[in-house]
Amino acid sequence: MTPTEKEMPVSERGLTFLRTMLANKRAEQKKMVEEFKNDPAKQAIVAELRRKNAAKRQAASEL
Amino acid sequence: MQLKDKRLVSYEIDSSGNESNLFYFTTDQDIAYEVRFKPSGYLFPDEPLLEPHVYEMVIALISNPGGKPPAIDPRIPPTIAAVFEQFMRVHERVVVYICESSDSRGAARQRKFSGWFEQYGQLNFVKIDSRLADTDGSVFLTSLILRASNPNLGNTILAFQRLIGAYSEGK
Repeated sequence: MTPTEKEMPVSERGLTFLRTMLANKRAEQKKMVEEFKNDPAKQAIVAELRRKNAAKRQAASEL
Repeated sequence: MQLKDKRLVSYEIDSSGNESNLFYFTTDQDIAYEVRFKPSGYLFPDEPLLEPHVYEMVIALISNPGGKPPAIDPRIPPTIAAVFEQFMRVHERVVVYICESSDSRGAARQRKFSGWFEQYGQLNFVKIDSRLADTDGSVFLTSLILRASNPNLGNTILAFQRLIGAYSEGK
């Protein structure tokens, strides 16, 4: 029987949290990339940010 | 002078999406990043008062049309600091960040992440770092960040230390 979190020795419990956090983070990063690929609204936000950045660079280069 | 000025200027941030915990910015290399604060009350299951305010911060490179590896960019630290400033306007919020440590660059990543705090966030934020080794030799590098004005400051730090201490006691 797998012990529940509460039943684990304290050391195992802390370690479980950290492993879970890291696994969650990796999964979330993959999800964020996939969501961006499939979300025109997010793509539009990024396109607009790039456009504004380019305009600022252009303006700075003309100073 | 120009370089110094450039270090201080963050990139424009967009948080206009439907969710208030998502932020976007793009760099001079046209690389796009998303910063997401994911509700993570599960980290403090024994602290019901903290649970609704705990988030994990995840930064993802979501688009790199040039395909080149991202260069060191001095404008990213102030940009991350600006994202924090926006997200932490709700003073009760607590952010936990864990660095990827499966390769030898984990410590460098944490130093890089800490850079924004030392340079831009010291006055408003408190950051607690921990470094713990797994049984397989890999290292977990985590940071807890909260506003110095957080009404639960003391309890949150104690809860984080209990979480970390729970692990180190057994080592």
